Amino acid sequence: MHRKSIAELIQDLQTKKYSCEELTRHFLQRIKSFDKKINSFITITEDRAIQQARLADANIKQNKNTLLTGIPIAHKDLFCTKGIKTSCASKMLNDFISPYNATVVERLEKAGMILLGKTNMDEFAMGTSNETSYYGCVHNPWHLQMVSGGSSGGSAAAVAARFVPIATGSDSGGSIRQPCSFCGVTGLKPTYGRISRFGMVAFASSVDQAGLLGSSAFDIALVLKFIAGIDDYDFTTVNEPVPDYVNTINDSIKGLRIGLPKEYLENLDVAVGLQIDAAITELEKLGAKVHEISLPHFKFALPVYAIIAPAECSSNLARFDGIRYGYSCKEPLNIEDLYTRSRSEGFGEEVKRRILVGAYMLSNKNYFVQAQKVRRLITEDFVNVFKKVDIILGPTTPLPAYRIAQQTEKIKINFSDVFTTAASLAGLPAISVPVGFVDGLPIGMQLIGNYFKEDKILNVAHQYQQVTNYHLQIPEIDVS
Amino acid sequence: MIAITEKEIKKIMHLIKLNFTSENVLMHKQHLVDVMEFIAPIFEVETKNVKPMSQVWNFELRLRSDNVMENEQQEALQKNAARAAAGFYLVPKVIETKEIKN
Repeated sequence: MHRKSIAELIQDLQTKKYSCEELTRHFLQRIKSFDKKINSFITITEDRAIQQARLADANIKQNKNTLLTGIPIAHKDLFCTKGIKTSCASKMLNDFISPYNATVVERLEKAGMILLGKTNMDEFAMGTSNETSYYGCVHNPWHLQMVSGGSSGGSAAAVAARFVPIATGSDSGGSIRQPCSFCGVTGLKPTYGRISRFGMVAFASSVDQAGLLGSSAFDIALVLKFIAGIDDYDFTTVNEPVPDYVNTINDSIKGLRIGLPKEYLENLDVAVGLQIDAAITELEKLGAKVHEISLPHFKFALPVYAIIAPAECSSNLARFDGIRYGYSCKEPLNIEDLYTRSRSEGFGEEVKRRILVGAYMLSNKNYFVQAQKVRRLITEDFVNVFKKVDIILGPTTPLPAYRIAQQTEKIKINFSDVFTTAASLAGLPAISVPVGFVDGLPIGMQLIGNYFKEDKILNVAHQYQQVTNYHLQIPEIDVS
Repeated sequence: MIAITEKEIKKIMHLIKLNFTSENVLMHKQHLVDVMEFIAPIFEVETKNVKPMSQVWNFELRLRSDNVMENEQQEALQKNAARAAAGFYLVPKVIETKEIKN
């Protein structure tokens, strides 16, 4: 069952080839048998999942089902889930039980999806390797000594290991696309404002966006329409119509104009470049035309992100004061001691470092304002380019996954986000699609679309996946 | 090389309510220096006539009628507090008391 696409699972459930409960038990068994090696889940919601599955079976029997009824899902552990721990992979929220559901969680629950559990991540989504989690790092299912990427590393690894057919994630600078590239799965970061972030714990509010990680573009298209769209609880959602993404996914891409930024190719690793060239060839065979383009301010994206994200994080994480929720130190001497010790003992080192950097950046308005100005120039580059091309193509990451604990220089690590950050700053939708292997490790191609053109990038990704099989390959985690 | 002093670090630590060991202060000082060097190129970009971009969209606040949308959740919300009683969050005493002399 775990090798099947969501479309196949839907067909099987509706024709009663097996029940939702049998399907749920199958995935739960895989998690229990093999996740010790991967560490992709923080919480497994077994009893609740079985109850939900039984309800889904009853609903299918009475024709009260939606398309997604009975399909298992996992949520990154920064989406609030009513009555279930939402930890953000932090000691700070180790005992936090959310009193409400995030909108994404609520909508998928209403659609009848089965929650298998909450996935591991970098603490408060700060990291690119999943090594900053309070619950230990996530191991890459393709090579257990390698990182999964991050911050949505648990979701990416869980989908790669086929512990779950689809998972939610969040992406602020590449946190869905980068782990998808490292783990060989497909991941979509939609347009900023496409999906509600109500109940998604904030990191850097002007770039945070919820998204999906799955085995294929088609699977993501099936689920996306259930969570996209305006939400009264999140005023940053945009009132744009939500199409049925499956309706256009089989459209021909003949005549599609693909922009290839020359800046992406400078100093690109040869082996990664070969995989990207091969992917371009496949798209050209399908009738797409490649045009060289330029994004002159692309090189400033990482430095701009290095100011904006920590600055916003230092503000967002000020709410953790040890009083209303979250970790609280033992026997505080006074209010100052309560604040300081609760935060110092509750946050991990990377989070503390980013709060410090962010506060420093905000201490001089020139840093933050200049970063915001250059952010506009980066965005205008994209706006100009999208007058000439339909999508922008390049590698998702400059290299495949690296060894756990290999890199200690934190700024260097963020270079794995070098191709993903610009689209985040501009708020554009982007998808990572597996396009091959380098030294046995997966590598992804990133397709960036114009605002609210999720349908176009899903269409191109799906057409590519119709003529290739990289997305169908599964790591052999069941071999000890 | 950008000069960042330990005094500056300690001032920020106070503002962000975080304690670092003296060893960590040095480490964070070096990290900040590294970050400042990393971001330095953006200050060479000409931005005189560029408007800062704080958000992707120019959001307009959507107004709604001022109706109660949710039931009382005080008890549920306070379950996550380390110290709460009688509907209040408890914190150490914050008002100083002075001895009154006759």
